[in-house]
Amino acid sequence: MRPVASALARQLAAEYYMRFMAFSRAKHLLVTQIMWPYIMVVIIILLGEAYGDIEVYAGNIGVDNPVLFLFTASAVALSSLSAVTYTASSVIWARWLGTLEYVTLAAPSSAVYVAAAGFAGASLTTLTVYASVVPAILYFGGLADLLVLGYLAGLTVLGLATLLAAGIVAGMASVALRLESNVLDFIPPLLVLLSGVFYPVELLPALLEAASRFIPLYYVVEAAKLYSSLSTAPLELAAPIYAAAVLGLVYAALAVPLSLLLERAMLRRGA
Amino acid sequence: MREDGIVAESLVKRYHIGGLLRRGRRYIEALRGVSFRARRGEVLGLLGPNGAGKTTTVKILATLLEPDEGDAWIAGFHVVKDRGLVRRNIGVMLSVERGFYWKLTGRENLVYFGLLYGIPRAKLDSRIRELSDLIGLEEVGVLDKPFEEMSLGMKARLGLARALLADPEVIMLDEPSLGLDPASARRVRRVIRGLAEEGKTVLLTTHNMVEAEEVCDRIAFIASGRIVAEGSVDELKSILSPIVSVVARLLPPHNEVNGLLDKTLAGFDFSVRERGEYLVVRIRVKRGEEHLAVEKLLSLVKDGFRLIESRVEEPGLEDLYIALTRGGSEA
Ligand SMILES: Nc1ncnc2c1ncn2[C@@H]1O[C@H](COP(=O)(O)OP(=O)(O)O)[C@@H](O)[C@H]1O
Ligand SMILES: [Mg+2]
Repeated sequence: MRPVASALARQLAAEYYMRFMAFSRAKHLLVTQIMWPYIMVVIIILLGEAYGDIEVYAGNIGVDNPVLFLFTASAVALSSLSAVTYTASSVIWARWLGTLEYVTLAAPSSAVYVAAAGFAGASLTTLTVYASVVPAILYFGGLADLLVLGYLAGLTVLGLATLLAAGIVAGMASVALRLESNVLDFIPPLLVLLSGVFYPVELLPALLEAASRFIPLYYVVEAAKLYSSLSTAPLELAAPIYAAAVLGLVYAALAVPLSLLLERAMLRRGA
Repeated sequence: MREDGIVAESLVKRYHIGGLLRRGRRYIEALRGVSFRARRGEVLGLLGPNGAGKTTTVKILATLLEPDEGDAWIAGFHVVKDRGLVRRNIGVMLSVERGFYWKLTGRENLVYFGLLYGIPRAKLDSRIRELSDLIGLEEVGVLDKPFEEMSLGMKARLGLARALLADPEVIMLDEPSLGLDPASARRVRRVIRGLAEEGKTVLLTTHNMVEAEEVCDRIAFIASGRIVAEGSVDELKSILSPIVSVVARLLPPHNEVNGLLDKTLAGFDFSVRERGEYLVVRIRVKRGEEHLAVEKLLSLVKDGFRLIESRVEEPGLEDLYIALTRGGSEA
């Protein structure tokens, strides 16, 4: 356990360093990340207006302040999706760049690399996404809402950790099975669909609704809903996040043997 | 085993082709029993044509690929059973063109990999300075240029620096000088020689004979997944080619000389060519019998010839290479 923890720490330090340097050289990436939540909210409100009243939408989805909810939900959704996609794509990206072999030689296991690279990428996105919605929250809500947003951001990072397991398996499987990155592209829309970020999962067919309960992201969104509908106390908000964390642990437990298996496949096939 | 940096024993590797579900039906046998050794303080060249199995061998020795059969040890550690220990003792360069972050500079890339190795930041900076002096990174502007803007020569220097970052015992370089400018290629070769002199073990693959002859202590020829010959450059030449040429440039006396040459060199396999006022005489003898030809040449001096220069010509490594790989691919 000790060597794995130290390898994870080294890998995280290196990944944060690399992303920080890359970002400092490509500032336009930062601008697009800040714009994202606003673009999403505007699109959803415009679509909502086209199909009916925003009040009806609020009623449908069960929140008091729909704009506030949309911003919060966007932050939750974008950061959570990035956890999975960063993690899953990090290994494909590394193979594409040709860095995967060298990273593997410096770190004890490719699963550790995938986890660290994914977490570094996702946590930085979480930070920028949450920071970017702060003005909107202050404008449509108030200082108290900002405190809850901060709390939610912390919980999201916790939720991210649980989403990593899924990302690790997806990424390593894609390399071990020689899939290309576009195979992973179906993951984010599926996650959006099953998480109930932009409309209630209750509207989905029963089978998909049941499937949503196995997606940690669903519980993070539940917490966001509670927050914007009831101004719920942080303690109550925590319940769905705990559910997400437990689910994440289960996935992580499954991911460990699976990723070891995939790692062996990579060694045999020379991925 | 301790004095051997690298030991490969009967390595076999098959690449299965077709999807996962149809595994085992069709495969390419990339290695068919590869064995060789490289001692500490030695540069071993793995020389062979494209598709011979050089990269596959390096990847197996670097723990990036598992062999289907056979064993290999790096600094005494088994490449499958002691994978972690092997990784701590090797530095690898697999391809000159890839393997770095495009947007990051040479220095930033080295810091990234240094952090992965767990080298503390302060020590890392001084290590990068050391390597810069050794390989000439600063000199050609590698440290402060983004990787995407580098020439092949710069990329190769950076790749070599990464391989040496953690000061490994065994260094493996896959075609390190492919496509480099002459200055970078020379620098890379000089660094490789220096590493061997420090007592490191270096394995380098190449299909460049000149490079192999210049930088390697010993050479293993690989063709179609088999080692077809192994030894020092001189050993290989003497085993594979028992005939050498004694070549002399002579200034003949003014009188008629052709009869004299024929008489003196009677019994030798020789040829004569005119080069302006000189004659170039090439005498083929068995290796070790060069002196017999030289004695005859000296006797010509008594007859009024002036001996301008003479040398013993080895068959080129290139000739050997062609002979060996032709033999190998028929197997
Ligand atoms: N991942 C792979 N899948 C299938 N065949 C491969 C793979 N890698 C190499 N080969 C085949 O194995 C043989 C040896 O390749 P390689 O080791 O790359 O040779 P070299 O480096 O000497 O050019 C070649 O026939 C090559 O086509
Ligand atoms: Mg090759």
